[in-house]
Amino acid sequence: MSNSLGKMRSRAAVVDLTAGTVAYEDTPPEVVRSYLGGRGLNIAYLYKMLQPNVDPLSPDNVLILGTGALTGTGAPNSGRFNATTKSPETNLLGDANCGGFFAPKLRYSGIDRLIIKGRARHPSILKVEDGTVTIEDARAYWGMDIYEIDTALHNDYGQSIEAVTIGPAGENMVRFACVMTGIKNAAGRGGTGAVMGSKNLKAVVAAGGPGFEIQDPDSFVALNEELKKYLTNSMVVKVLGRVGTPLLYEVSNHLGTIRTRNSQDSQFEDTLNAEVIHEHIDKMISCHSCIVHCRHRNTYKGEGPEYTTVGLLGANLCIADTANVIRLNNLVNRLGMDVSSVGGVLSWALELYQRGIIDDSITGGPIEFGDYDLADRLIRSIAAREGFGDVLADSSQAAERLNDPECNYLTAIKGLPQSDPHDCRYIKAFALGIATASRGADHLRSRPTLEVFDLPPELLREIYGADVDRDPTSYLTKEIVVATHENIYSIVDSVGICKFICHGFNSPKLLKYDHFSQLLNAAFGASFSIDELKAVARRVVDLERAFINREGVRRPQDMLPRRYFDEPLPHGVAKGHHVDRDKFFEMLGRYYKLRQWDEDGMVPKSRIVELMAPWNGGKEAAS
Amino acid sequence: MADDSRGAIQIFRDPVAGFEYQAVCRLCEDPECVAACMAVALTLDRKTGQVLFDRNRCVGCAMCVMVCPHNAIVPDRRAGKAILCDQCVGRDKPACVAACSTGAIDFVETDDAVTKEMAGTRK
Repeated sequence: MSNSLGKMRSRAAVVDLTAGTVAYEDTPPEVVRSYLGGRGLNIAYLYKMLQPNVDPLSPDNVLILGTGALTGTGAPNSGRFNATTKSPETNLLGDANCGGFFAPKLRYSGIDRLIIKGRARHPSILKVEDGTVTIEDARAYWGMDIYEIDTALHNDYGQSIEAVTIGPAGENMVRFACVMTGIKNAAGRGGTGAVMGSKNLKAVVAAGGPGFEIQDPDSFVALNEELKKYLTNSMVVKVLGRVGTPLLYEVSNHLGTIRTRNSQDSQFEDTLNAEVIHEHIDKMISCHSCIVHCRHRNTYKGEGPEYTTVGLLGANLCIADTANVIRLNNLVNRLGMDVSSVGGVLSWALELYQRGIIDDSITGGPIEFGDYDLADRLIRSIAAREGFGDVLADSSQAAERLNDPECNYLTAIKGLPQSDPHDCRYIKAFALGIATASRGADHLRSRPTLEVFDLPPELLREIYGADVDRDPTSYLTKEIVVATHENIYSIVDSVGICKFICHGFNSPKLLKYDHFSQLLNAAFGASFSIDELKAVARRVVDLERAFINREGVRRPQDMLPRRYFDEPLPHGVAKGHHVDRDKFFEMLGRYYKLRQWDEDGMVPKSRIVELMAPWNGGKEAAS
Repeated sequence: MADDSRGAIQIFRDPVAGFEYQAVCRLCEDPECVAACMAVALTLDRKTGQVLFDRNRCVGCAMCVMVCPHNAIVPDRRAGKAILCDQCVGRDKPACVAACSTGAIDFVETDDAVTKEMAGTRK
């Protein structure tokens, strides 16, 4: 590989909470070149450091907080980091990307990546300042919710610090507790917060430090201004900045694909439309360096809601009252939990009760859809792990106790409840995407929805590098669509930029590989070609797959929820559509072939050797 | 160096209370920082009302930091200098105005209604 990294560096602090020690290392340049940062470097470390089959909530698990390669440079929307660990919700990969203000501050504090292992004897805080990490007593903060801890840390450590925290749910090791920053931003999926809680770690405080060098600040600023103009002209960027992600609710509802009543229905009330939500919003606010500003400050002392929240805590629970859905959103954030899993698990329990599969002996009383007060109570009991809440806090791992051992009524894959409120029975690429997503049923790994825009064939050819079937309900060529999206999102997650300005996520325009290479090269004087970035993308996807292969994932785990196969959608444009098993498995087979995995979905051993070669300083084979 | 704590605009956020405060030079009519600066690094351009900063003259005493009523001057403890808005003299458009994507910040030279209104908020 001929490229130079220029001034691009990546420094890691390895914290052993059991021993109370901190070691520092510069990530080897070959590894930085091969995995960039953020999600990419995190999986490179996790694969190397973690032994297979460890208990995710034991001291042996490793929690990595890693900033992206462009995080904090001032590049558009570059305020992000990834929290990566073995998930206590799935026992597979837990990897979640998060915005806010913490990631740039961590980098300015002189550390790009925190690698945390062991378990502290008592509640602790990590403080990062001037390139040094110290372990401090946090007993006084234990028990605080997300709002309280954020306020307390700013009062005690200074107004200019930034922090990641856990709330009561993380302390109680709820399997879908989040690592949070501010009062709403979350490394949401897979229970990263439960791992932090299992380590007795309440917060990480970034207090500032030396900053880092930009190769040529004037030309880098000029490039960012140019990109800002390009991006802010985009219609989807403008709309996201005005009303945020709830704009997607109406789209799914119109199609008849909004998950409703635990996916027993697929259309719901208009009370959760973006314009209605907006009546409950004080203003739109942003993350660090953001030009989109899609986050709401609502009028009920909180931030949000996202589309995910209005879908999964609204339609999916049949709660239509706008204010109440926003109140539930605020409550879940305050307790530090993943709204997707909370909504998915609650609706699962409600349907099981509706069908008589569980009864009062486990629930403690009647539970029904559409009951806001009940939802509020159950959410609190989950975070506290009290009564029935203690069962639900185990997510898909409560299946036996809920008399649904095969999770027939839980919309989940690989044990992870599906995040997107979009029912995947209609768009077949979307179905494949959540089936192959490395962390379980999740839309942020691929979310191939450009198809609903009815784009001209020549534009599709340009995007996908092949002729793809324009029909969203077709199974043909969708493996190409999914792989293309997965690849570029692994880059945007590795450079620490938000998907909302990434090509393919909501728009056929926005930032592509050439922009990412321009930004990296301008910021650091590096020389990344477009092809090299594409090779990084494939590496990240393959290594994540190798990680979950090592934990036992094979073809049978790339399986959609039963309902997506067996029950046709009842409403709207999508009425009558479901996923055909045979065609789905053929599509999955084509996807493996395209990825050069074997028929069982395994990454070949020779490829794993290649993927790990950068750790040995070895030259990498062509990829 | 990339480090937002060394910017001439500092934004304090309190997400729980639900507000942001932007600490930025408000161009006081009778700026206390200029009066306090013994190194004559800070001067008032009476024609434009701009507070001008000559970084080379700054000796890092932080008197300006202490007297600024708007928290708009921060000490750069590594460089031993003050950091404050230098009005981007010489640039077509101040860097902050160019970077802002919402139009929340603008640079207005004339004595128009907006300026007058803003002047009401000056010290």
